[in-house]
Amino acid sequence: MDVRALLRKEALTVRRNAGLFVVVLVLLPAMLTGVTGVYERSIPEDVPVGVVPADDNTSETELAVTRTGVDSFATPVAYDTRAAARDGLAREEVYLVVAVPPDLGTEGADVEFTVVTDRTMVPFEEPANLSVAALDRRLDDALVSDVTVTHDRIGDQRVLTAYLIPVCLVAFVLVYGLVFVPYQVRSERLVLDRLQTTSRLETVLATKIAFYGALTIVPIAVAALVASWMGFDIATLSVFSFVSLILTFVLVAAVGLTVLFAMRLRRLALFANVGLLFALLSLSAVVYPVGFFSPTRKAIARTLPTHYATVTTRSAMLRDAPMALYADYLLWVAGAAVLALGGLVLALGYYRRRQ
Amino acid sequence: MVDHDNTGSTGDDSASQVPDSPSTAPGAIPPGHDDSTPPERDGASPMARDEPIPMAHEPMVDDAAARVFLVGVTKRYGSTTALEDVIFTTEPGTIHGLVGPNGSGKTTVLRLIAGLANPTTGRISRPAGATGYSFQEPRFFPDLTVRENLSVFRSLADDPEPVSWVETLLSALRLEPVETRRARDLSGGFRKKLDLALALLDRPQLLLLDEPLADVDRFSRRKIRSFLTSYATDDRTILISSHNGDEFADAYDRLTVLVDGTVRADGAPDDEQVAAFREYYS
Repeated sequence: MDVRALLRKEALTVRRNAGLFVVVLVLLPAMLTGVTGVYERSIPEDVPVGVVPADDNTSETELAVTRTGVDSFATPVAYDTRAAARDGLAREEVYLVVAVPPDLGTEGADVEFTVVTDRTMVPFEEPANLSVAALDRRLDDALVSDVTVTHDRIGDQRVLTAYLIPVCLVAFVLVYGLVFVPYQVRSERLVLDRLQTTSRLETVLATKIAFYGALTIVPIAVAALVASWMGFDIATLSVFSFVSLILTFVLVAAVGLTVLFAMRLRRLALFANVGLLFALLSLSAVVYPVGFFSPTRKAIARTLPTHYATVTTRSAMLRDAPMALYADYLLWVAGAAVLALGGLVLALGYYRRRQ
Repeated sequence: MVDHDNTGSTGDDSASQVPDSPSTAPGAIPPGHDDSTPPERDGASPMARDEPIPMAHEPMVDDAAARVFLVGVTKRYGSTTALEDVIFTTEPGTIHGLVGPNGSGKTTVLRLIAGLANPTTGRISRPAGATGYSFQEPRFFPDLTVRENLSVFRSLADDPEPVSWVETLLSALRLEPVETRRARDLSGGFRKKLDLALALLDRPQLLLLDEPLADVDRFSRRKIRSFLTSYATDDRTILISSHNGDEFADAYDRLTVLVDGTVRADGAPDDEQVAAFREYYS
């Protein structure tokens, strides 16, 4: 019977491409459903919150008391000065900063806490309001003084769409570098033999990365045009955003090509890269701020260069902050890109040896 | 001279020295080479394995750098042995046929000579000048046109040949009618001719051709044969791999017969031992 014969043929195809089907039918669904665990709660419970003295009269005891109050709904992070705490806010180390006034232990004294949040973090707006209210309630209960909490919102007012533009560009660069460029190289796999008779594979791939990296300017410019058309005032075309996105591209393109050559240009490598893409998108906290996630997920995100690439791109476009403030983030992304390029050289050596 | 050396586990450098003295004849087993022979396989050739491979002629000293040497070359892919102790030499100014049935290891030999793969053991040496390679399965940029492919690969050369050479190739290989067509849209014959043109682009000293006339029409075959025959002059060598040896039967100056990964005969086409394998080349 025709159908039986055709089904048998499909079964044989699965058997001959077992690795591919394991990735598509087992690993990808597992990864996708696993990603849902990222959104384990709608209101963050372990948000890093900066605690800083409001002025020189604030004592260490008062800071400790405040940290204890914060600890019940967030993770306190100590800063010495307000400027350092605001920098921490801009670098997304913390999502609220609590400025602690003196005289907390004076019964009946009016004390005013100031909670600073960044309007750039649009998804965090509501959780921030809830956190401020919780802080107000807890401090008022815990202290003998008369507590008021003032909410100071810094940065330009943004809407979710504007917040998502840098997010989309980072996501695009991840897809472009991790999937599209390896796909392009694989589609020319036959010609690589000929190229090897005249050039080095390293040169061929370096040219590819440089060319497609330069082409990244096009989607950035398109995003700038769309943002402008939508009436958003965001710095899409700044040097800072170019540096951040192109470094990110070099990093993920090198990783994608490393996987491709380590797997000897097999089709399976493209699916492995798609899996890697999902993993990076979810674990790097590209869409939601890392403050939303559990301490474990936060720790994972903060080891990934793609997380820092997201923060720097977002800051470049949405915050009026100097690039120097993110120098260590950019260095980590650049260092990871260099490591990935080293991995690519090793993968090429392996590929050549196995020929 | 470009060398690919892999002496395997012997670690004996002396065994890997390529002879370039006038005392070493092409096809003869060079000094230092372990001349132990692999066991005879089914379908054994009439050539006794412990006999020296026949020599065509004594080489000139100046020719040494222009020759290709394969000395005791073995290539294994996992547990599969593609080549076993292959030894042969090509002479400049000749068309050298590498003939044998499908799966005998001819393509592997070409890939090893081109440096696209490394021998498991043994040593390969080829001229330092440009090497052109026409692949069994054509290799070009499928999205580019014929002319764009030629232009891109021409500019990859350190010292590109003049543009007039590209025009010569387009004409000699009858590629002019399709020069503006995307390579991916070409028919099998034109694909093969484009691949051949790319192999000839640097006017290479060594030209490796893997089934060069497959899918090519009869008229073009004659033209290509004539072009290649006139190309193999002076210090240029053409090594042609074919399972259908009659394509170049009259053009071969020397033949190496490869069966099941081993050299069964090596010499002039009229050599008695080579002639025993006539079915592969005439």
